[in-house]
Amino acid sequence: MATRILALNAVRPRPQWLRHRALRTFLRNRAAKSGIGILLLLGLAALFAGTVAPYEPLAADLDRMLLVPSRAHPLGTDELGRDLLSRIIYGARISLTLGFVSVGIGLLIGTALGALGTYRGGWADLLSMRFVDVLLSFPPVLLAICIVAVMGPSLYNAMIAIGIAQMPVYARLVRGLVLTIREQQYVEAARALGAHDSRILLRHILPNCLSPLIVQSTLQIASAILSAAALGFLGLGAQPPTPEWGAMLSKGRLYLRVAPHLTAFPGLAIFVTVLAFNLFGDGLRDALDPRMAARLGL
Amino acid sequence: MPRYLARRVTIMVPLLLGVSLIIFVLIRLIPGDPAELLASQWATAEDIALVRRAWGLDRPLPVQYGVFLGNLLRGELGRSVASGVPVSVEIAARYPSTILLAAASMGVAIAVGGTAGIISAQRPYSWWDNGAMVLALLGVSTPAFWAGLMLMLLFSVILGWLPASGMGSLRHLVLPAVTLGMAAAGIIARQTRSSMLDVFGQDYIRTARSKGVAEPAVTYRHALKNAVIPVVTIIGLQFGTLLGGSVIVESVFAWPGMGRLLVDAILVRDYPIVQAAVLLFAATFAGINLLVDLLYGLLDPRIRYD
Repeated sequence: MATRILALNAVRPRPQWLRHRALRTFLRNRAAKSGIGILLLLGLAALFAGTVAPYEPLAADLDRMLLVPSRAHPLGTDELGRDLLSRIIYGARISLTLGFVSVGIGLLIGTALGALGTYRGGWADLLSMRFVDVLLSFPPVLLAICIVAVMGPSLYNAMIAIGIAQMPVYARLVRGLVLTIREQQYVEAARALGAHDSRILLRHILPNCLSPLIVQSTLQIASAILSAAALGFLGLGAQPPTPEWGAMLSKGRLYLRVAPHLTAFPGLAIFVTVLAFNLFGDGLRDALDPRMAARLGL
Repeated sequence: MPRYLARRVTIMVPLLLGVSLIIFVLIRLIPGDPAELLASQWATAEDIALVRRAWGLDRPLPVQYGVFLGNLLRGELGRSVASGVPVSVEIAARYPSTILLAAASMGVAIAVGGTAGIISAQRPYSWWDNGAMVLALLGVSTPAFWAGLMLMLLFSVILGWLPASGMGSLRHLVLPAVTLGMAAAGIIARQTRSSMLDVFGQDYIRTARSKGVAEPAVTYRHALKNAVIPVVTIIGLQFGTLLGGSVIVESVFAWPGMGRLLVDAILVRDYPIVQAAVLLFAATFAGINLLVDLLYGLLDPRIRYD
């Protein structure tokens, strides 16, 4: 007995957690690893913005307006003499929150709509899917813009609007998943054992939707951050003086000729964050959903 | 084909009705009296009462929706609160510019994305492939407004090669079209690559190669034709994204299209313009999807509509 365990250990030189196939695939992917690295850095900067940022994000100093990057202000100062680096660091907090909250909203409503409608079938399915079709016939971003138009421009409304605009994507995805999973034998078995509908949905169907939902959500966070920044840029999202990247950029563009750093750096921050989420999401998809990855030829 | 067309159009009708219903409900959800919002800022109490009656705002909601639809079908979209000009006139002046921009961007996206995707698929896992796919990812991750401003900085402010904003000549179109097409190019490149790779794995490609068909002919005559359908689907969907993106890019380049009209209208709460512009955007998107569906039959004779 003892020798057998030893022999088994000999062919398993890797630590326990690394033997998981998905994790191994993920960790072999250099792009995905750099994505998660950037995200960790951003997350830390956002969490400890108070300590990391050299200045107060809202502290104006009219003697130091529109300074080019220097030792005192590594990314320069804006039109009110505020330190750009500090504002971008605080902006990470806003953009990350925005991404997670709006995707959370879309995920919750969309999953509920997709799962309940599909599982019930009949009218519930028909109605919920027609509703989703109608929402999908709005060009993306435009739906969010409409909702903000009604609720009024603000950071919170932008989050809600983007969440609602993302909801149909989840409803569609979950519908497809539930349709296949519903027919699996273990669901039939659970039903034969007398399990309640809600139990079957929550304990048997939804857990099996998790990995595609996680992959999709990571990519959706990237697009939510992009949309939020776009709303901020159009003046329909976060309002000044909030250090939101899109809003900063839209102020900065007024000084494009004299102080291009005001436009360049906040945009770079959005770009890097979105890229990191995309790299991470692509890596997750390859690791968690090999069939999907094979179909996309990635 | 005519029967299919009729069926597709009948599917579009409830969708557009749904869109109009959502817009109707959204506008009614705005806090405050819609009649006051529809009337101008300087309207007297009588003016507001007049607007209320004209728009049927004193009647029950389902009736109001009926009136709204009726007005819509007759092309009576009301007047802009800000300028007093009929909404239909404002929109008619702006719509072609947006379509021009979206079409030009799609042209850029198809040319760049399609080429990159084909090159990648011809040499999978090579430097070319990796480079093209990195570029595609960068295109998808770049905020359009930022890319636009950076291109403007480089090509207009620093180099002075292209005009920074406005519309007029072909040279005005270059920067906005490139900016707007960038993300779509990335997505088209990825889709082209994967569907070309799918086809390259098929038996008839091996047959063509083994009987000595030249590689370019294999790629373009045998593979591309069969790989194009999923790409066309993506192109249709990307058109929607382009229409949404035009709102942003038009604001960057002061392009006199519907997107800018919409944003300006939202900022001054000019709701008649907002509802008409949104409806037209959605209708355009629906029309393009229909066009894509019809294209399938042209591209692949095996697809029958009846």
